[in-house]
Amino acid sequence: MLRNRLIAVLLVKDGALYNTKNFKTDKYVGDPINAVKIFNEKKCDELMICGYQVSLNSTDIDFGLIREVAEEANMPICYVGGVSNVNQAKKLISVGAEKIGISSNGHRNSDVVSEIINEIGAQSVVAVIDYKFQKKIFGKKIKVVTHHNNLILDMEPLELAQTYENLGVGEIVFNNVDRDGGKTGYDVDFLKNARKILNIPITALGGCGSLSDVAILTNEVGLIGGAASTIFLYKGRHDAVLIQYPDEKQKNIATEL
Amino acid sequence: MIGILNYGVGNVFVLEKRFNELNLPVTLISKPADMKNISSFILPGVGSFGVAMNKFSCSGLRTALEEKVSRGAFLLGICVGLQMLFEQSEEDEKQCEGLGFIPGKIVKFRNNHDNKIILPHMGWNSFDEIKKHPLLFGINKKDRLYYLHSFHAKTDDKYTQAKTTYGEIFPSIVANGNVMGIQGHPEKSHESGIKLLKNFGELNAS
Repeated sequence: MLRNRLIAVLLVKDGALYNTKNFKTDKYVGDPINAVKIFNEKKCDELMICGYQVSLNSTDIDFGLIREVAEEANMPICYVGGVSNVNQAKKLISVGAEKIGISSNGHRNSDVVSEIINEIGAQSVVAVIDYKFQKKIFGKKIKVVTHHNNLILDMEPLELAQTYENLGVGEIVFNNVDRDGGKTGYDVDFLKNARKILNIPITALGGCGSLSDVAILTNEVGLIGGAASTIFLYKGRHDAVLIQYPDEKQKNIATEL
Repeated sequence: MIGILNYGVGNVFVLEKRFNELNLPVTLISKPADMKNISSFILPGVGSFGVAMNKFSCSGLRTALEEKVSRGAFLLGICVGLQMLFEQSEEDEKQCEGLGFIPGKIVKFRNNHDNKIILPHMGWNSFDEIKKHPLLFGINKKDRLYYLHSFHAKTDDKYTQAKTTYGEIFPSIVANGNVMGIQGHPEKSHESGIKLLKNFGELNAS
């Protein structure tokens, strides 16, 4: 039987590994290739490599690093960050990424999404939707955000996700930026809705504080990937850097449907 | 020597690195002349069946490969590469012809009763049944491979070497004589995948 995926998210900048909280403070964590070797040993399900601030500073995508990571990794790689055209997507596939994430550049440009789908195949295209809750006088509103939480779009994340599904993407990653690095648990109510509405694989990001948060996802949402960064990078009260990933037995308990 | 068919589809470098790590001699095949000392071929594939078939047919490798396979060379199709081994696929609007090494066709996963199936089938799946076949030496039902696909083979039970369930039971590993296919991605599936690649690479010795 299929079980849910437990995905480690790695932020890379200038060839090094970083971590963020609320998309703001970035902390140096270590060497990405070394991290991949540890994730190999731990039999990690999947790696999501985020080119940090690539879209903000329009720094070129680090294709050399992605190739090194992909060759080292005994697990699939999804690359996200700054992908804006079909040539970049093609090149990322050729250096070994299995899946390419498209985010702000695709939100208002369905042509580029369709072009990438036609070139690399629908199952390899992932839409990454960052969203947050906005407090209003009458209740709360959920809005899509871009540019590392600096720009709020007048778009509702589930509607945007349906647009992506209709275009044919193979997966949607929902990232609740309010929960980034906070370890308060996934946004389960929102994700339950997303699972009801969408017929493609979905992945949750933002808020994972422990493996039991992943178990909650499995039990309450059903088929969904759980992605996390912080819990795989630090240990203990003082947040010492230590790359870790649950063993097979623990992982199966949290991910078996 | 193992030859990886490099026709512009699929990740040849990762496969090359896996065989290097296993100390099995491997090379990339970009033209028929490269096939000279090759006794085992890998046919990788990602994306859509039609695009992959078209690129392979235009690569100039197809006739030379068919010749080699008819003379007994081993062939392993991976993911869409497995699908290309069959006669045809319903993926593209007009049914697309495959290489026809294994009788059968490629069909889409169907909705399971009232439950709409979530596609693509993405993630780590185990096996329901494993037959005795040299490719599957040391593999058991609990071994998981990484899958990413929406279509699967429909073929006679005698060509099905391993079965997996996703909504329905489908052939996840197939073989017809010297031609074999793996629907998952052994190059991205930790020890279970490495075992499969090792078994394939060592077929000549056995």
